[in-house]
Amino acid sequence: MTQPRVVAVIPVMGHPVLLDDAIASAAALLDEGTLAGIVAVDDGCRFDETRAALAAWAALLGPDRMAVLHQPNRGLSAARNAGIAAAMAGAPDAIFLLDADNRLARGAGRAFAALLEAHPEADWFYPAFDFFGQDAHYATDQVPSPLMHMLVNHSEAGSLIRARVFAGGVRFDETLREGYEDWDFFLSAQRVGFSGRPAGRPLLEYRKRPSSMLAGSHDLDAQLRRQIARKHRWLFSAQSALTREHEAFPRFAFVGLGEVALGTDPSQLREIGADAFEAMVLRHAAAPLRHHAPAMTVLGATGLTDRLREAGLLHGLLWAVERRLLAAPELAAVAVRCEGAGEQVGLGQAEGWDGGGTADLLVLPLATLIAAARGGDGALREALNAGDPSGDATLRALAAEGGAERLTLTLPGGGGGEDDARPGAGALLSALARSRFRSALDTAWDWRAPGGAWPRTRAHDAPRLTASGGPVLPLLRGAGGGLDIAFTVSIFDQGGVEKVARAVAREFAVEGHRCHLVVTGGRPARLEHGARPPEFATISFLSDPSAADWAGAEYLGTAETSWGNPEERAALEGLLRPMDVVVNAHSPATHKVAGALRRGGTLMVDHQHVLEVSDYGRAYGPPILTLAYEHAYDAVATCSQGMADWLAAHGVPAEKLIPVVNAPGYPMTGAEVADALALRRDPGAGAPLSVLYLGRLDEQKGIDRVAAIFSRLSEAGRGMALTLAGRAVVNADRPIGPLSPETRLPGPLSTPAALTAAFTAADILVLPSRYEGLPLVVLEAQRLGCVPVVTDVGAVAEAVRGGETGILVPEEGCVDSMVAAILRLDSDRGALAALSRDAAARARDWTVATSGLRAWIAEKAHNRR
Amino acid sequence: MLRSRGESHDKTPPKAVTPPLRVLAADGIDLAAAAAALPGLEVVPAAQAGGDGRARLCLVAPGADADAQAALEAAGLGHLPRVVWNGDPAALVAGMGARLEAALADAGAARRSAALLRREQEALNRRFKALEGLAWALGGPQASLALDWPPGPATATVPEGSATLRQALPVDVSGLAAVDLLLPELTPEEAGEVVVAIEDSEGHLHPLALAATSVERADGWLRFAAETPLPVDPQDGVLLAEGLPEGTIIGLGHPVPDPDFAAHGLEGGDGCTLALRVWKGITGTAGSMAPTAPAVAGLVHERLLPADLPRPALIARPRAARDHVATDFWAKENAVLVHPSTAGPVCARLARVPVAGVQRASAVVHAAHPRSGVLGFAMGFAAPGQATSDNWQQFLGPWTYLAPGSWGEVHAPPQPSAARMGRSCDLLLATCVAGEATNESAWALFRAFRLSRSAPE
Repeated sequence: MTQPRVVAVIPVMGHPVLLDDAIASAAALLDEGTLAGIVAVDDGCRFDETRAALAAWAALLGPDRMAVLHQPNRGLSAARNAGIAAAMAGAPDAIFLLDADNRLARGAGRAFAALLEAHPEADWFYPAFDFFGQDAHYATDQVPSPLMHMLVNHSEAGSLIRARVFAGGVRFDETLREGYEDWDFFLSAQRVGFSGRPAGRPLLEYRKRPSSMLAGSHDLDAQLRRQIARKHRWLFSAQSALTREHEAFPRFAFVGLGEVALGTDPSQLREIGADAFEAMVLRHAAAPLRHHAPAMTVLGATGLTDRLREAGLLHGLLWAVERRLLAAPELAAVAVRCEGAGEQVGLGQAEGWDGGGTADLLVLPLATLIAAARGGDGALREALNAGDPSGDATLRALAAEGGAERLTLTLPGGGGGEDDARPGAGALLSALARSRFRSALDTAWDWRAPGGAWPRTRAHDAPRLTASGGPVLPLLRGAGGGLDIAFTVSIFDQGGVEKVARAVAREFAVEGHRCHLVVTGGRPARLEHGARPPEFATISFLSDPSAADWAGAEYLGTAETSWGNPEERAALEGLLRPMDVVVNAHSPATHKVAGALRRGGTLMVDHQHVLEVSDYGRAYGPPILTLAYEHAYDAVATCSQGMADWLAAHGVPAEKLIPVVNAPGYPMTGAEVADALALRRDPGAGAPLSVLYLGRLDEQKGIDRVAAIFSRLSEAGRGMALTLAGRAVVNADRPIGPLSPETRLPGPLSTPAALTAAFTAADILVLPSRYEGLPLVVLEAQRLGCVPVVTDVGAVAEAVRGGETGILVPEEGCVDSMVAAILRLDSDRGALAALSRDAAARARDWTVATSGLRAWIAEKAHNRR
Repeated sequence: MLRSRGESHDKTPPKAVTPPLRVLAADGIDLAAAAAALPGLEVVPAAQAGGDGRARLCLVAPGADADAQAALEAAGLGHLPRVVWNGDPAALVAGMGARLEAALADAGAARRSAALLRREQEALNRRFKALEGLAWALGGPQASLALDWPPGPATATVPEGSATLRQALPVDVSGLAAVDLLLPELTPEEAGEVVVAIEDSEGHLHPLALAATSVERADGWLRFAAETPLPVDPQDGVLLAEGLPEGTIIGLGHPVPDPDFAAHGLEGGDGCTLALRVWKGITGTAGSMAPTAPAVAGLVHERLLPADLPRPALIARPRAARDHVATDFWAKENAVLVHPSTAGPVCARLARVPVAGVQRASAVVHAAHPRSGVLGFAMGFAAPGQATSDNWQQFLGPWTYLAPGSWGEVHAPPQPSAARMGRSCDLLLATCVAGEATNESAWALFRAFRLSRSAPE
């Protein structure tokens, strides 16, 4: 074996006598021929003795074996860099960085040659931590991983580093003068493709004193870690961390019949056998510093996990479970019970669970599996020993011991069967308790103390670093290369805001992006037929009731929610962190994490729809909160030009405003529109007019005015067909007022087919709102030739050009104006027909409406990637 | 003083107490001229120097070197370097520069020596600290069971060919003293051919020698002991074994989920470790964990059971002992119990055992309770009444350490002369608790005795 040329670089500051120990240890290797040279760098040490010592050593060892550099004090990193530069001039094979208060181990020189020869692919070799002074031996990562390297630095500066790393331009950051400069160095090396491995044999004796630079840097730990994270965004990003976690440290194990599927993203799992999973769990339990096991094991009733995955609910559900386990790490199990409630989908709050009753889904933290492998205590031990085919005794014992919780998932059709996940859990835990590897738990497999290594399960903390410690949605980037775009809404109940969100999401989905729905108001979503809207790949719920309570502090007279303590904010930040873009459609909770998300690289868009008006005429509502949080957003999209003008006038920079002017709220193809228009009866045929109100039955919409208008039209005796479709959502307790007896009340119409039929059958849509944004119902009616007669409020005038595509009346005296207009149109069917034709001809579409927003996002996202 | 008259840029000027360099001027040198030419140095006549230890060199006039040398030698300064002085200070510069460099190198060597001494002193301090503990325990040596993998239901066999058995050890091999392996069917001859070593993480092999007494015990466990506990830095290690005959059955421990720690080089094995025990002692202490009783021809052996012997009585217990200490004859077991204390060794005496001329003594010992700690056993014998509570340790032979439930042998130091013992002897039975275990259930039993004396002529 040819002896490699290894040079020791020793920066010196403040250790004139301990320096002798360091140099003597290196000199011993010089003498045995296993070290080629020493470069000592005096970093402006204030002790003359240091210079005397260096001069003495240099004289003893000679210029061929030792070089001494002096420089003004510039810090440890600068001193190392200076030494590296000097060492590299001699074309070494590798450099060993030795701090002046440490020593090389006696066999280090032979180890250098053996390591460099045996592992040509490794770029550096890091030692375990063997301390003297305060004697201790700490383990370090035996299988280095960039993910774990986010959490703890496994590579001491006292490592053997191949020259090619330095030739590649990697150096110590001279701005890091308070510590962790070695951590930064090795992360920088990995960034450009270098990798290290453990030396596996003594290289360095590390002097440990109660007070040292390292001890001092621990006090600054949080600050220094933030610095490291900011500098190394290539690693400290949610998608990077999730991808690495998924590949090497899968967060979940899905247990089926005989097979176990592992992964972080539940839509991208890989299978292993049940025996292999058992070995994996026991391996981790026996040696947690060396081996990983998934943090959470998921057992579900037959087919349920597939159903949830298909419904887009699985990612968000797992996130919610992880959030509970993070908040209460002592929990032994989290169960999910599925209940049907019509078309609703939602996730309730967690409640205590005694382990009894059916559980459609069970999530067991790793600690529960390990407790079973160790045999358990008391009732658990009895249950495990007895076999417990129903799982009842086992789950009850677990719940009694560590506590358990249950979440209720509202799902159309409920759990779908009579399966219970508990027998599977009981069988799994019993199998672990009987594992042939159990006795391995009695041996301590790591004689070194943990210190330089963390348990491999801490890998799951790494993605959380990108989200202020909150659980991160287990969502990997899609294969198609498009963006992941989240739409956050407070409620999802077929309202205008929700329809617009769907429409915008549809346009992004057509472009190849993946859209995700996040409901933050703590209430279930009402989905059409209870099915996942096809434009959303996933649906997640933030189940905190306070997220929509409007009981928080006020800004310019509009209350925020009381939601938003640090745990809550970290949780929502984690839910949204994997997204490239977040579009906030009136979710107040999202405002509170917008700044953090934006700082972390997420493109933040606030989408505003309507400024509310109180009974006393005061403006309030979501646009006011936009003014409060404008700085946290990259852009503000508006439903109308009018809204954009209002926001600009109140302080939002014009460059941030992107009007996304509303279009009809549900999609129709050109052929479908043509077919529907063909069905429309000719107004000139003389049949009595059909007048339609369609919308919420509340004061904002002027439902009392609708009642008055219908009464007057009925009294006019022209036999008009009057239809009032809708239901009260807001102000449900206020009476509508007396309606004429011939008024048809078909109830709420929500499906596209029902809406199309209603618009096609109606000649006129009446909408006497007190305030509006840009109402979708007007645009939907116009598309199908139904002529809107509407109050000129909000941005309605952007949709209705009076006398051309509809009739606009002032809000004051609107009942009289609307009645007069309708009677006029009844008398002049030609005018009605012309309005109908022009309204249909000038219908809007979302592709045009969203073009500005899509182009902006494309440009910003391209620049950031 | 080495202070120049001009501006000084010396960032490390000499200390204020440093005297000026003293130079001698031999006969024939113009003293004043020399002093003027060498400001900052102290020039004094050689003739007045006597044996001045501060003089560093001597200026000699051209052509007068021999005389100057003689004069210096007469004054005891023959070692001083001599420089021919022609009035030009440059003559001194090269020489003084060389001497400066040499002085620096000497200082470097001194620093190196200091560093080496510091390192050795640290290691000695560590050993002394451990040996202090040894002294506090009244000479009861400390050894500990560092790893215990009891035999499981499975066994494996040695395959064909010269297989090397490898077993990674999850312990720090620094201080490793012995390893017990379960090889139940090896004959003593075959056991003698087995080569066992510990390979440390630096690749060094540390051989372990077979303890003959473990073969004699015939319980299947063979002990392989280091000459002294391994004096290496704390590090990982691997047990290697070669020379096992093909087909040898070897005891296995439990299955391990980490294949790195399964035994390799066997047929069968099924992912199990070897059944083994690893013992650690104090690094640097002498004493192997393989005490032997060298065979001596011409001895007659008398085998005695406890029931045949006098009843035991305590003669020594640690002064600081607060836990249970006792000795007793257990009739049902036909064994002598010497229950040790965690505070130190305990010694019982069987007085006046009626065997004359005893020269050697051994006992079979048993750590009888499965949940005791590791127990140490030793024995000795003395003339009746010779051993007291003050001097009993000096009669003891080497300590043997047993894991819970295991059997062993102890041997007393041999007595060369039969006449010393007379017609009877006192047997001394000592026990201790090894490591930091409690003495709960410390059933340290002496099961059988063998007393040997010279055969009648």
